[in-house]
Amino acid sequence: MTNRIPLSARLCLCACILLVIPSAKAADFFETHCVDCHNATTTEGGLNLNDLSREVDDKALFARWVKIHDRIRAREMPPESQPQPSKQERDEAVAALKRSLIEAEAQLHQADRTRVRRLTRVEYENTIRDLFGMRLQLQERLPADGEVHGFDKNSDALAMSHVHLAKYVEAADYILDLAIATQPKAPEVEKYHISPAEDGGVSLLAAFNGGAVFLRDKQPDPHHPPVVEGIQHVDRGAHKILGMYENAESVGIHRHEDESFAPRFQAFTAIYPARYRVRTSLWSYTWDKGEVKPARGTEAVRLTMVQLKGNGRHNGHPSYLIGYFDAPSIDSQFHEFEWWFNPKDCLGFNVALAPVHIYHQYKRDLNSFTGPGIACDYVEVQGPLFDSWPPPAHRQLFGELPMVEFDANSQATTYPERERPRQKVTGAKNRAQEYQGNWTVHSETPGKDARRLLAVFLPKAFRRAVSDELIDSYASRVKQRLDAGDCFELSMRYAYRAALCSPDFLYHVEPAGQLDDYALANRLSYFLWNSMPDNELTELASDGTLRKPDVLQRQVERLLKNRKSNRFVTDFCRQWLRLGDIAANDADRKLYPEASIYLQNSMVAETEAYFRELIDSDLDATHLIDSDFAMLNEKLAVHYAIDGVSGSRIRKVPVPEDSPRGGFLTQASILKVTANGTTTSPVPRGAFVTERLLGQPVDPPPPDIPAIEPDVRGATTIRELLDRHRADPNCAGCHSKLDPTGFALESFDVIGGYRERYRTIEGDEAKPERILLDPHLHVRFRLGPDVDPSYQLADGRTFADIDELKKHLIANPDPLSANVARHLTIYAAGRELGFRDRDVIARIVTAAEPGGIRSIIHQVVQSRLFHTR
Amino acid sequence: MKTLLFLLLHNLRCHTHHSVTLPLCHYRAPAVVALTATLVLFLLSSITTGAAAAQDTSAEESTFRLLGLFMKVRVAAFQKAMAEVEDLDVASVSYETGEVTLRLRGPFRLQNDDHEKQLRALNNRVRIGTRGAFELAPPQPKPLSKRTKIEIPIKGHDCLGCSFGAYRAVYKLKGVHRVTSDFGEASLTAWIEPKVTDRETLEAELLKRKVMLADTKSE
Repeated sequence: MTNRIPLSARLCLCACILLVIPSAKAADFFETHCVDCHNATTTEGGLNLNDLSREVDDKALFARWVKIHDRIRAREMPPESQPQPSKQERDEAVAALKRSLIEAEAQLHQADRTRVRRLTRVEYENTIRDLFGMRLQLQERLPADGEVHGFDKNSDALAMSHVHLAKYVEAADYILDLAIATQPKAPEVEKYHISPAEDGGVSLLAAFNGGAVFLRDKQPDPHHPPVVEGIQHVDRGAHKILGMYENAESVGIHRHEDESFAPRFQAFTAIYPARYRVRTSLWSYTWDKGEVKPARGTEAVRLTMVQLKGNGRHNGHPSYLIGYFDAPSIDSQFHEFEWWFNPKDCLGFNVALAPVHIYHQYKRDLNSFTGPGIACDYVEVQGPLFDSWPPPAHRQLFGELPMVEFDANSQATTYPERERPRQKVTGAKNRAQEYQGNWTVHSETPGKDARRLLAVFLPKAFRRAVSDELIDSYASRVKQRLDAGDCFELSMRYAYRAALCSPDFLYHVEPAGQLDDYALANRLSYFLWNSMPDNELTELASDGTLRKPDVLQRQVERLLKNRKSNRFVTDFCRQWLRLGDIAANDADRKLYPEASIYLQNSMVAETEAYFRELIDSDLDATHLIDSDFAMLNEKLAVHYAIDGVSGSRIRKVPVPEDSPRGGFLTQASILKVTANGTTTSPVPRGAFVTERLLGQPVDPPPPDIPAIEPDVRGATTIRELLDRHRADPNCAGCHSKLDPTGFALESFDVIGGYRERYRTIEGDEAKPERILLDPHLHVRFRLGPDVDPSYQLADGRTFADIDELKKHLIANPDPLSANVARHLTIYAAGRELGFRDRDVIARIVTAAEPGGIRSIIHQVVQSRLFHTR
Repeated sequence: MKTLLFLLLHNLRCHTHHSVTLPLCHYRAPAVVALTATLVLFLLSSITTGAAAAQDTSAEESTFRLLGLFMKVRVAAFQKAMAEVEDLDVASVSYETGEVTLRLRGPFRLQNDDHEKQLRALNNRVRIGTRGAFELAPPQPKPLSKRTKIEIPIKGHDCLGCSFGAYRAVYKLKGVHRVTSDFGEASLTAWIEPKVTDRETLEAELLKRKVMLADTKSE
């Protein structure tokens, strides 16, 4: 390295660095190996060590020093083209810098532990569900949470505003409205039989478009013949009056779900919030120009819960997925399950077929159409189902106090305004049952009962022991309302609403430093259940035994075995692997006609099931990159070209030797969230893999660098574009780390399908072979240039394709384990980890040897980071 | 006396049994003839009413035009639906004339000679009982044999709902007294008053509702 810096400047530089790095040898290291390139004249990589302050007084400067440390430690600096330091030189410099950084961080971030944080929307919803035993949908009632470093559990992302407060009050009222019983007897259980033909959209398709057909005895219904060329049914109202829709034996649907077609069973819309039993019978077929023939395999139906707004007319109501249900060829399959319905909830029904020719394309003529169809014989809803009355939510609030009828016009006492239950949704046939009158909870000794009830409720809601003073303060609010003339129910409701809006409920109450037993129980429960602790955890916290390592280990096992841990799996994957972005863009329909919501939901289900499997089988972190199995259903298996999987259920499937699948790296969900709907780019994919799977932080792109615009025509490959981009040495530094994995993943398109050639919508290139595509798909794309997935890693190792890249990446498993441990700890502790926490993570990885994910979870829970705020 | 005045004012005619029909707006007899006929019919009516009342004090029968009876199979459908309706029995249904005779009890019996109210109440019950598939109307002033019968060939489906749809397209048109529609027989039959309406009008209405006529091309 040439010596181009004046002596005075070099002395100054050494003085600056020495304050950060007191070791003379470390200072020598910088002088010898760094400053020649990183000075005011050269500023290579944008770094001028002359100007870099020795006083680390802000986070940005601290992060700069950490980056310097990391690059020297990783042997990325000095670059290979320059004289290399000896191992001892490097180690000493790194050690000295590390000591200084830890010391500086301690000074700089003295109070930078987990800040006070409120419940996320997901945590709030789960907590209410567990507290009251009602499966309410509350997330959409609250403002969206922020996100810091990809995690919404991070305390920095959990701001509180007046909007939040207003929404919490509204939500508390909504919860209490549904929790408090208003009648002395449970509504009677009723059974409703619904035909899918009763949905306006379905009957419209059956009458006019041929997107649906009525079936009887597995054949076209002679009483309602299919639509054929030029002949449609007339006057749907007439058919409806004659009961032809509700009495339809089976209805076959050919049209997939889309923006304008989302059928639902609105004929039953819930009035009473409760569990209901749902039964349905489904089968599939191939419609072949007027004939019903066996299906190509097992198709699937997607059932959703549609939360109707207003009177339930029109489309666009919010909904959430219940699940996918198999529809085998010709033979009807019976499905039965119980699900929670809130008022105005009804079932949504979608055939999960790949997009097929829609009616415009076959000219409304079922005699000329061949394609898949799914038949629904009926849907039956039975309920409301209560194990006891009043329901648990009511007993949580009022214990076993009796109910009495009240006079709503009473002048002496103010009673709640009861809204008579009634059906508010147009087209719903179920009606409210006979009104039982105005009833409310009655107490002979209201003051005493109020305190007794609050003494039970508050510790449970606040997830810790509650002082007598606090209970008294709430009881005094009840007394105020009683004195003001409110009845017992209204008075108690006032206190409960205050409790549900109080910081004790809305926030994680954690002492600074070492967590107390209740805080530890909460942290554990919100980590693995994403919800409040149960009685066993609370009791262990209460008697002070929870923090014992063996007790903690048993509790982790218990929590992981409980079904509630699926909430952790879902929520952690959503944040860590950005699965929440899966629907951020839709795949271009011309380029990717095989894309569908079914495929998209299956992608998410695969990733969650895979992570679940890593936990359950305690598989090591190399499985982030590769594995000999995948978690698939038929839809994904076809997408991955893996044979032998039938049905919608996700199950463990061996990955064939010649398949590139296995590991998160090549899962369709990961490949979709890192692409837009039209093209892929190695940069975002590389950044995602580098940061989220390999655990190497990635700097955001410089503000003055324009984005690489993909060539949607397919004329220029992304490799050619990036080659030009990397010609700039300022870009080359980061891109040498990001691009390699991104290039290997070019073998996968925007929906995670394997490809050897890019797809294009222009030009005269060859039509695709239809081996992997649904034969019923209308293919309009062409095959463009070849994909070249080969490249080399930053350390010079080359690879020809994704398989070779995987081998390189799993050769060093420790960073992968550390990455998992780091993300789990961030998720559990609710804060970003500091430089000094790296040692803790390293100890977690060591203690978890040989590095199974379940073992890492155990070690995270036993670690100092988990036990302190 | 109130009954007499009512009949005079509304120019009504009585049927056999003791049944009474409501205003027939399209029936325009000269005033004198109408008055005389009404008086005679009223006297007859009083006699038959008295006889019926002596035999059965709990039920009375009335005859109405039954709308919605577009195919023969609908007779059974009507009877089945009405079997569930309280205080009403179907005494007879004639597909040929399109009329129904109902046996009325309790609240449906004529009270205070308010025939309009009676028909409204009956019609409501019939519509609810048959879920809108049938409704009642005052009887025909003239038998169908005195009307002009036209047949319109129809092609396409032999679907019950579509037959009803075609029926609904024309049955309430002015001058249309009775319609049957059977796509199985590929035709729609209407009995019309030629001075008021004609085949072209009916065909135009059918085409408007996308009913395909045998000699037209599909849309």
